[in-house]
Amino acid sequence: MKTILRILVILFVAVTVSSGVYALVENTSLVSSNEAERGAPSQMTGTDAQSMPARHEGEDERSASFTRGFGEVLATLAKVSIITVIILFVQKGIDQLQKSKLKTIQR
Amino acid sequence: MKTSTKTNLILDLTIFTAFLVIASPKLTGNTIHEWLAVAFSAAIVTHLLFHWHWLVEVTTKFFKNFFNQSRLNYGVDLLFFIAMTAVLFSGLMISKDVLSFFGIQLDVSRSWKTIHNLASDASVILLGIHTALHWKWIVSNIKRYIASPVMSIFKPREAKPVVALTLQTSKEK
Repeated sequence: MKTILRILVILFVAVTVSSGVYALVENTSLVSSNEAERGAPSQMTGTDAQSMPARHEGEDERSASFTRGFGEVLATLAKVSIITVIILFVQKGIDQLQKSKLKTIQR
Repeated sequence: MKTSTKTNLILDLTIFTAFLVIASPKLTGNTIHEWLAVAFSAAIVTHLLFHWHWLVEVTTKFFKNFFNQSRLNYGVDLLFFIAMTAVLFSGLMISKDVLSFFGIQLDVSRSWKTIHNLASDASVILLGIHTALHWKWIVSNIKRYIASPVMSIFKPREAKPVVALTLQTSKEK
């Protein structure tokens, strides 16, 4: 019972965040579509111009490739590792600064 | 929910691996990418349940002690949760397989694709920070539960049987 209640709390927070994202995106896209209506030439319909590259993009994404996919995994892992190392160095630097400050206060 | 450190470590490593696989849709193809993301959301909920007491404790004490390591962790974790929710929700909005499986057809704007990419980039950065902030815990438990048992397999066992024999003989006496 406790666990179900906790799950409901987590889902409630997730739904709140999702609603915020939805409101943000829909408002932004409304603005951009209004701008497009104002600025775009009348003969150029948005669907023709936009759907063609999107279809190619979709076809490319749907197929799986181990070599390309594995490369992508390694790239993501490298990004995460680089960020982790940077943060660890920053933490170490802060620790050393605090230690040196403590030493000067003690003297 | 009481869980052992070993269970936490196994779940965290599974989530980390799943994150890497989901972040690479070319590896699995779109269908598996989408369904794996749905399963991933359940894993995140489980991860939060495992750390529920910490979450409640830090949330209630948030404004008492401002400069604290737990507070930094909490801030990063909150941002990470928001980013992951945004990734999963925007992914659901642009979904081609999961929603069609339930017979739902959405006519959504192209901004969702941009939001999906931005939120996934943010979550990669936040995962790096999250990993760094828990680095000591990760390293010590990997040593304890993975490295040490693996190393003990390759270590020669010479002293142990002798000790056992002497114990046995002393009991017999």
